[in-house]
Amino acid sequence: MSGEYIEGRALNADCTFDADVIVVGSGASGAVVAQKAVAAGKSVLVIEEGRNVPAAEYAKMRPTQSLKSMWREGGGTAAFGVGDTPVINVTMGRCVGGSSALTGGVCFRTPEHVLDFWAKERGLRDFAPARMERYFDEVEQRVHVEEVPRSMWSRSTTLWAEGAAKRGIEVKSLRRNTDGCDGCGQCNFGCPEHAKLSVDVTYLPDAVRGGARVLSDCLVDRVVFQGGRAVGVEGRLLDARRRKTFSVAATARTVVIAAGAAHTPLLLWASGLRNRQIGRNMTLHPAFRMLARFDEPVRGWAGAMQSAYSSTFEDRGITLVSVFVPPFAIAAGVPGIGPDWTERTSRMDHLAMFGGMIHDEAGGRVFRSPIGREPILTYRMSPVDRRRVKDLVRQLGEAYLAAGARELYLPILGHDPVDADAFRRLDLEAVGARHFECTSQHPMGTVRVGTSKKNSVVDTNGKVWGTDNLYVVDGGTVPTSLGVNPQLTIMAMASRYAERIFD
Amino acid sequence: MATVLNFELPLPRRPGANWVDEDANRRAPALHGWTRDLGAVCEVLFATHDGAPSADRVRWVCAQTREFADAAGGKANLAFRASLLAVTWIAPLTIAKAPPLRRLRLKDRVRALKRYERSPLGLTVFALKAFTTISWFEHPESAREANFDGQCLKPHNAGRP
Repeated sequence: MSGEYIEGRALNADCTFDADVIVVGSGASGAVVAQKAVAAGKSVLVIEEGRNVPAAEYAKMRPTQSLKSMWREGGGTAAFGVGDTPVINVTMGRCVGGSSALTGGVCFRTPEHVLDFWAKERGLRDFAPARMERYFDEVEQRVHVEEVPRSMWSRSTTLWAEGAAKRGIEVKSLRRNTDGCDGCGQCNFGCPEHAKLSVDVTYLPDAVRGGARVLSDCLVDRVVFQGGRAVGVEGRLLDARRRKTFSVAATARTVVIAAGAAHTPLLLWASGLRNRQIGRNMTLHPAFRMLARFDEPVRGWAGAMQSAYSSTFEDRGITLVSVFVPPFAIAAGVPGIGPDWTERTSRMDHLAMFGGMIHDEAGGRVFRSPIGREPILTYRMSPVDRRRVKDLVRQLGEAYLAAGARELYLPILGHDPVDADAFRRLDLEAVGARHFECTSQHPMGTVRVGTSKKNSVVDTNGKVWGTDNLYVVDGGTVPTSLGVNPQLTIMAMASRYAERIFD
Repeated sequence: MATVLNFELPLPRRPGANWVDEDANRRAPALHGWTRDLGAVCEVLFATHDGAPSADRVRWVCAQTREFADAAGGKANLAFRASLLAVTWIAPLTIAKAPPLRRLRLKDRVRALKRYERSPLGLTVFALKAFTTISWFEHPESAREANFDGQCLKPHNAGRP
């Protein structure tokens, strides 16, 4: 029996649905759970706030079209820095497939020391490395995780690796969920060659083939309870301009929330849940980039957008990862105004870029906003993490200088370019963290898993404390930052939760 | 119920990525209201040693930026509009000139924005750069000026059956 994709914006009446399982959110975790539920013989309704943008359509999009159609707030969501903390641009997807359609496809298993910490320090023995292995195996097989061959490294990445090697830093190939990548560098806007195997082209179609329905353009307002039991959800359809139109009422025997770390707290609060841990403990993997100008042509866009990494500084809470985003994303970070800036950006083909992220302590929170539907995010960077930022930036810059870069464009707002001497003279410790240009693609932890409702929101089966059949399975349940890209962790955890929910 | 068929397997292969707006040279609407202030900022941000970019390109990037900010909605749009307001009315004061920014000569606008960028409100300049450059480099001439050809590493379908 085949299911269907239903475009909420095309409906023109109030709607009711019934299913064994409702999954709120169609991203990495929601899609996995939907497929598992179908495989367990359940009828499934997946409800997605965003648009349904089929792969054939996003393959033709320019970046701005993708940003408008598939990214939350056009990619402009920000976490406000508290204290000496940068404003952090937190990017999230809002579409069928969620952020998975917009990532660079990077797939890391959860580092063993992180899983060991969860097991030993947090009592999460079910997540011990040996117990999680088969979930990683299963997900990797389904989304075709493969190592990026060196031949796909861009010149931007190779230059950094050459400089890193001179400094004794090991650089290795990343693994990604790809098959047949031609190195177009447009991963963040939807793969134009259908080579990135995000959940919209894997798990979700699997679920639909098995009978699942995917309703897009529908914002779930609340989970409906009778006693302590979730019996369904209520929400509204959204038109093409995202205005609320007709009502939706869906009943189910099990409700699973996969709305993402920033939005699941909103839904839980709107549904009357009052656990003090909801919305707290957010980690972001604050990320920073270094631009370097070389005399030789670099053409950094020609190659896998992300292809290599170094874990040399893992014990210092830093992971360095290759990345080359399109010119418009680089250009805002190029220093200068007017002629200075246009002269520098006229040499886009001579710019190289490498990045890194902090394995951060949980300094973030989610709040309900008094206006609009989006949450307010705040983040306070710890003193340890502030020192890590400076360390990370130093490592990025020194490797490019060792590779022969003429000058560096630092991730410090308004800072002039620096040559090698100026960079080495620069006292980074004296630069406040709030002056750094910072992004995040990995919000997690806001509804963390744990062994007690005093210090967590969901139990080890993903069940929300104090409820009978309400579950959360998204990145909000990840209890600490990972230090590596979380897509595979989130999907493996979702796979495990699904097994518990539907057995 | 409306149904959308999401895909047919195998998915069709496309030759490379899409970076530029091939219709960029169509006439964009005239600037008025707050988009005049945006135009004044864009003339500065994208000025070369030869002066401001062409009026057509400024109109185009303002129209694209406005559309983008409207689509982003919510706090992102609010942040963008607030940043523009701040730059328009405060940046001139940094060089002891009366606002709004659009009344200053190009040379003074460049000076004002450079000075203002280093002030505690400098993040607003970054925000405007971020919003406008998103569209700017989708103009084919801007992409050419930046020596960005957007070509993939490998030929289309290399190594695929």
